[in-house]
Amino acid sequence: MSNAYRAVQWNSHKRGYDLWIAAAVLLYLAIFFVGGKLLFREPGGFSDEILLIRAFGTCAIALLHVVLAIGPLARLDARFAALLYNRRHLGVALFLVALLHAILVTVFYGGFGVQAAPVAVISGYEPALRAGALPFELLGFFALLIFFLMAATSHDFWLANLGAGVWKALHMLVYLAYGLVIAHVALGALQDQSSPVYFWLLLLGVSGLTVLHLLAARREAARRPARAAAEGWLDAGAANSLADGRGRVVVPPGGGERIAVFRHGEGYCAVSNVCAHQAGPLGEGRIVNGCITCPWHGYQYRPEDGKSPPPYTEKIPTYRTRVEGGRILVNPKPEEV
Amino acid sequence: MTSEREDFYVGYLPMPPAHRAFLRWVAPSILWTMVVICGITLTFFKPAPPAVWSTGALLELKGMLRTAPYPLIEVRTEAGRMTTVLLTGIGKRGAFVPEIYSDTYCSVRGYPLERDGRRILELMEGSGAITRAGDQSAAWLTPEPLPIGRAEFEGEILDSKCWHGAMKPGEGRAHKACATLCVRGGIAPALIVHSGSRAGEVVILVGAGGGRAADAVLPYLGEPVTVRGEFFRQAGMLWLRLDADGILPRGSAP
Repeated sequence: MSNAYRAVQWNSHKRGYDLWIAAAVLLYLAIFFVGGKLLFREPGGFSDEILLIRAFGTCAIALLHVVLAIGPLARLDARFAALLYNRRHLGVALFLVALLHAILVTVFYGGFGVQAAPVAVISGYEPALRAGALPFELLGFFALLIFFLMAATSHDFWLANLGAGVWKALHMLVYLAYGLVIAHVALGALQDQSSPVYFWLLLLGVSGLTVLHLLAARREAARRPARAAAEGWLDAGAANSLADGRGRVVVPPGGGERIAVFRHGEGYCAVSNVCAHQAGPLGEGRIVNGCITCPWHGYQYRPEDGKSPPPYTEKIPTYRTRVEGGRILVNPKPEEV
Repeated sequence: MTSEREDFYVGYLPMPPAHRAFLRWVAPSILWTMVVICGITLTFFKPAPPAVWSTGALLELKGMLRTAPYPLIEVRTEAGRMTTVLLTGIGKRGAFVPEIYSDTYCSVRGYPLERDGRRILELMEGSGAITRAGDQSAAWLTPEPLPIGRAEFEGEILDSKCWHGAMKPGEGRAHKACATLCVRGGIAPALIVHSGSRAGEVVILVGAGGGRAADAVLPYLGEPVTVRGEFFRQAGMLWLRLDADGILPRGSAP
């Protein structure tokens, strides 16, 4: 990590991750194009441009499903954290593949005519929108716009300058983009295919993602609010059940920010459960090299004061703790800075 | 590596063995899943139409050149049968045929697009695309339109150039924008009949007054429609003179 903004803070994991992304995308496109030429030979072959449009389009949809599956998978099984770590690069790759799909569509379906290509692509729907002729191209365009905003603001520079709330809200638009993409496919390409396989594939994707998100949500909902203890403190569970370096998420009974309680040697500490970087769940992290470490991107905070070790300047709220009768108690009121 | 993070992943630190082992099968699994999806997607595609656009083979046709309702040339085959070949321009534009050539015997040169035994011609660029071919105009006998009667067809309206192989496939919802641009550019709109005894036929559409039908068909290109009008055959080609409001999206009330 560094406290200076650089285009990419490379490390060996990110390089490996990006090589896998590049290999997957190139392999997919190559198999699609070459396979398409071999399976459908002239005179019954597809136009090269249309084969490429379909290759980029279907590749983007496959990548989108992977991107959206990683989040809940990482909540359900921590071993998926390695996929989550560099997910933003996967998102940028998704945007680039979708952009190439859109460029090819615009050039080949909208080009070579009496109108400007971008106008021509969406101008076939007047005088009125009808159920049978909704402008599915526009839905794809709006989804692409969201992917662009996400890719353009994926750098930590934007996270720091927009603020975590705005940044998170912006990036949650991926679910709107997903809906737009599904509608784009259902009202467009799917209408031209006679095989039901494409409908079932799409349904499998949508239902698979829905189930994953519901499972992750159920796991979150299963966290019970902490019991109130004396003097307004919260009971954070048995002290001896928390292993050294491990954390536990404490849910305040009246709502409010969750608290992450850690055992550090023979002592206990509590900080906000929300990582200052991307709001990762600190309570699911560990103490590594003496610092509370976020499970998402490895951002670190000192247990004693919630500050990132120098030269970093992040600071998260801390809470007072004590052990009574073998129970860890936490004061839900953040300590004064 | 410290023991405190044997099973805890931190991106900038060496990967824990458990995570490394997990990734060794997860990453290839994602890759192979994408390959399988790619294979399934390809395998079940509706096949492209058997159409050929001979962009490298210049073809010359001689016959009577017409400019209305669409640029076309009537050609007599060696067997003496009359056929009609629609003409288009380069790209998504109708053929530009100067009025001085209208209703004259000419030679046209261009690149043929052929599908199911039907042919249209994309005129080559330059002055050699159209030339007069002698004074046979007066002797040319165009057959009168042969009325077939009132007709109602279910099908899809699209531009005749893409259907003949300029785009493969050149039909359907994904092709709607392209078809719209082609018809706006002056390429003749065609109805591809989807059902009934005429299924598979290509019917060239003209407006209620016998002129071009672009304005009437533009909102409905690339969609399933029901089309009504006067059906007739002329010079080897099927035509439909559209009723006013003669196009209905499929599923609409009559």
